Amino acid sequence: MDNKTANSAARGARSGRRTRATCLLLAALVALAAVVGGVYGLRRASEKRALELLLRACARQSPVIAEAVIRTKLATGWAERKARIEQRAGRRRTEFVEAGQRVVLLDDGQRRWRLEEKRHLATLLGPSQRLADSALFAKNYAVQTQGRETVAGHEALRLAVRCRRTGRIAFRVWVEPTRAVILRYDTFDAEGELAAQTVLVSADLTATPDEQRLSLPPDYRIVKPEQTTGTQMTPARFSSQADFSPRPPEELPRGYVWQGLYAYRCPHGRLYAEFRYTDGLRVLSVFERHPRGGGRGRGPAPTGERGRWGRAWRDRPGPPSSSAPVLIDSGLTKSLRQRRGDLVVVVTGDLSLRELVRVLLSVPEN
Amino acid sequence: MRCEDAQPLLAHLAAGALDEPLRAELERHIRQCGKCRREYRALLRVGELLERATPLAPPRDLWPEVAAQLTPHRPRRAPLVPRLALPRWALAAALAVLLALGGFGLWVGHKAAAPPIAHALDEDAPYFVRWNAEAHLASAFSDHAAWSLVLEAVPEPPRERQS
Repeated sequence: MDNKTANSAARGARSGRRTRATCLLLAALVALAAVVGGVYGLRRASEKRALELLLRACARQSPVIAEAVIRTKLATGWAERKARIEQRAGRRRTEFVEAGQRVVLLDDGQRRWRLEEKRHLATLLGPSQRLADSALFAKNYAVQTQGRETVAGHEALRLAVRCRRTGRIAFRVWVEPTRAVILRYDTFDAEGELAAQTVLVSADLTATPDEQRLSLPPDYRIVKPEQTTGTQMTPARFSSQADFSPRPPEELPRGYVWQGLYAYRCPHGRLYAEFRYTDGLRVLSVFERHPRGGGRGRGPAPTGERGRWGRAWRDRPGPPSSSAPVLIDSGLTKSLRQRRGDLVVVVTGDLSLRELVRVLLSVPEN
Repeated sequence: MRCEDAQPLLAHLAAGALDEPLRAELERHIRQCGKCRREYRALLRVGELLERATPLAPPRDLWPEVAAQLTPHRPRRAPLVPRLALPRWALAAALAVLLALGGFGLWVGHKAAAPPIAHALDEDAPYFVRWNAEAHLASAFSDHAAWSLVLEAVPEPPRERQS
């Protein structure tokens, strides 16, 4: 064979090896894509099942009578209480006993109440818990199954709910999978630290709570404090009834949507506007008031309906103009305050300090 | 010996400038390889022609014309950073790792300690917590036992209306 033919043969052999290598590489890439896609699909299916179990558990349909220990982080430290919990068909009764006083928090499926047995008093707290934000919740939080454990003598699936925005776990629940009952609930703050815990120490999942215990007692006096739930209204209506126009923040953490503007009057007589936002689980409140308390002298109360004004408010000077943000509370949520132009603004929520500062500084100064 | 190795040595062989072992090996190859043999013979003919040619003296004014076309020589500086004897893929991988580390460092720095914030008292602070806790209780996903405990711990607003 002469050199020209030998060279051509060598080139042909090299070309063949390159083609085989390219085919192998493409096949490897396709196989890798298939594996990654398969793993992703399995993970999404698992997340969907976990979310469905969580939704069933939060609907509180299954009957439960249980004793629980509840711990919550407050600004002054941790608080711990024992409680008796009864639930059925979307209604729930939580009974605290403290220093001989029995306080009951009742959700009768439509409204939430605080019952004081000694005085036969029922204070309206607000509407019943609802699953209305489940789509928003699923958009901002991913639910994953982490394993099985035993809580209060029952086998439970441990679910971790992770905030998609921060990547941190927002809460963990241990759910009895057959009856969809939450046996333990650990809440974590924005920094990932444990902030609250509810643990059932004994739970009877077969007993049915008494119907009367899950309903408002007919002989109780009903109290509706104006300041408790706030009055929802449009910003324009609020401005017409107060002597300041609230200004919403221009920056929000991803995933938070506006729920509405609410008006409050604190016991010191100061009128507040609250811009309320939620991501389906957490609530971000931006409270604003006039530096000297706000509210017209003799006009109607900001209730959305005509009513008496109430007692006079005290004239107190506010913080200096455009001062640096200050932390005024830190417990399960944090509150930051700052004077922004002609308003005193307080941002309260379960966010990192950095995010709270960002929201606060985004409120326009005029 | 292969042709690729023999080809560059043929001119040296024709000039008689090879050592004995290499010359013998090259001559063995030429005896077996027709192509190299032809080329070697061509080189020998060129040598014979050059020996028979009459040398010519260059004209006196040739050098200035040649010198004008030469670029000035600048001594080559030694590189500030010595060239590393690394393949390109290794350098690219090292650069990618450095960029990734730099990006990670920026991300960690961004998420680092919160800005320093002073503490202050506010007599309305418990009410912000209470109102915010009330809003949390409206969600079925929150731990309403824990939030209820928060409500129990903060002052309750005075009762305004009874029915």
